Amino acid sequence: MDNYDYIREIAKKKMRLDGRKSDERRHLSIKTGVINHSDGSALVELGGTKALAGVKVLPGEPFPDRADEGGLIVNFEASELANNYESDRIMYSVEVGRVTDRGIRESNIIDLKKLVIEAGKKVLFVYIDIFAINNDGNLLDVANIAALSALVNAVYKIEGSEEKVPLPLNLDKLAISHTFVKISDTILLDPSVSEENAADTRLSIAVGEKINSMQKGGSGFFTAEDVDYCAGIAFAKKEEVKNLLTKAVKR
Amino acid sequence: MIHVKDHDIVTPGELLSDEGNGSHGTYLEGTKVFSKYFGVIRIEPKGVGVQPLTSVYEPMEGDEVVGQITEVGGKYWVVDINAPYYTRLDVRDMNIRIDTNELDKYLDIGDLVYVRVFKIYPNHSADVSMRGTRYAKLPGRTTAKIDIMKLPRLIGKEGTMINIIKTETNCDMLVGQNGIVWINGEDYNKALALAAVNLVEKEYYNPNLMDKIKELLKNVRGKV
Repeated sequence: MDNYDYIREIAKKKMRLDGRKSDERRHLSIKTGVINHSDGSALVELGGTKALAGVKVLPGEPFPDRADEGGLIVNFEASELANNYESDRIMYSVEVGRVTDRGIRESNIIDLKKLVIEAGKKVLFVYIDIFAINNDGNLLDVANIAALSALVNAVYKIEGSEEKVPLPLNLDKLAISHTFVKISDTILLDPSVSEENAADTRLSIAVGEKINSMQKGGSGFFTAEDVDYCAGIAFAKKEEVKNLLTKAVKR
Repeated sequence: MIHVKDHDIVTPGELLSDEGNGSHGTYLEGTKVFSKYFGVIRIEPKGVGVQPLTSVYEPMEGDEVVGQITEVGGKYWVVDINAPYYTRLDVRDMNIRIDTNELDKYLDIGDLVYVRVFKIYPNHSADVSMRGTRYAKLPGRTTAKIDIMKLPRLIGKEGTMINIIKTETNCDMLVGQNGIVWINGEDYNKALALAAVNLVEKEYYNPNLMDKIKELLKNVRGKV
């Protein structure tokens, strides 16, 4: 009952079930500081999709091959209860965590070298835990925005000092994820869950100053022109989200 | 002493009364009555009740529902009727004689059917039937979903609301008692009808819903 045929049919005319334009996002809202016992947290809603992210900064031993760097660990979890219907099950929840991790890591927004307390012995690890609360499609973007908001929101204390410091972030490098799906040769931004079910293929692009990461899913294909078109939209739309994010998050 | 007024909105676990006079949608602890649901208070002569704002469809014998075929078995089809339990349509419950070798010739996976629930088993699974002139396979595969608590709003007084949507959008529509609405028509008209159903789902509490629906149908039509 996900209107599979109908979505594919009207996509040819660039129409969508909820009346959006092909390059229009759903309403985005960001709330930060929602969890008391985390260092930073954010609740992001994009249409009906909701995700909660929490950041915790903890000391630990560095990885043996990276003695002079702190660590960044992203964890994503999607409960079965997040889906409205059985058919909406998230088939790619491991992928979401990895793509979010890559988007943040490759943008170099967080300077891991500054997280060292004692080289080779003690560094800080940044744990980002993201929970999908409700899945109405496009968890990739929601997880990305939630993780970034929580990172920007985070302040931490080092043992033995009372002062709370924000993470060493370079806010110019915020890499915002944009997910596109291709349905009957039409490219749609921010798919809802029924559009994800009907899609041939999916492309996620995280853009900051340049393209930071990309991820393709599904069995269909994108032509070179399609990818250019997607990247163009992503660059045009990213400021909107970035402004909302920097405004919503008080450092 | 009753702590709430008629039409108040309450949350689960809220204290409603000290007199032990709870009716549907409440539970008792000693003589204290608490709400079971997030819903609206109904004060009746027999006690305080709570009508939930949203609910899950529970099949009842005699319900006429819209369903989708999800599985083709040896002598039966499995039908999704938006209930949390398993539902079957047996070949014997069809109007025509069926060749059991080619069940998918009659109804295939994804097809929509209008059926009647005729038996509920103790484990809540249901049997549906297509016997009778009212029931058939439905053309097209477009459906809208609406919470069953909001169905009365979608239908309106004596069907006024649904009739307006039908005539304005020029679509065939069929509302199942399980909250599945079948829509058939031209592509653009179907989108309109879907938008109207979604508006009812979103603004069911609005007393001026009829005006809003009329406005929606007029506005979108003006753009063509």
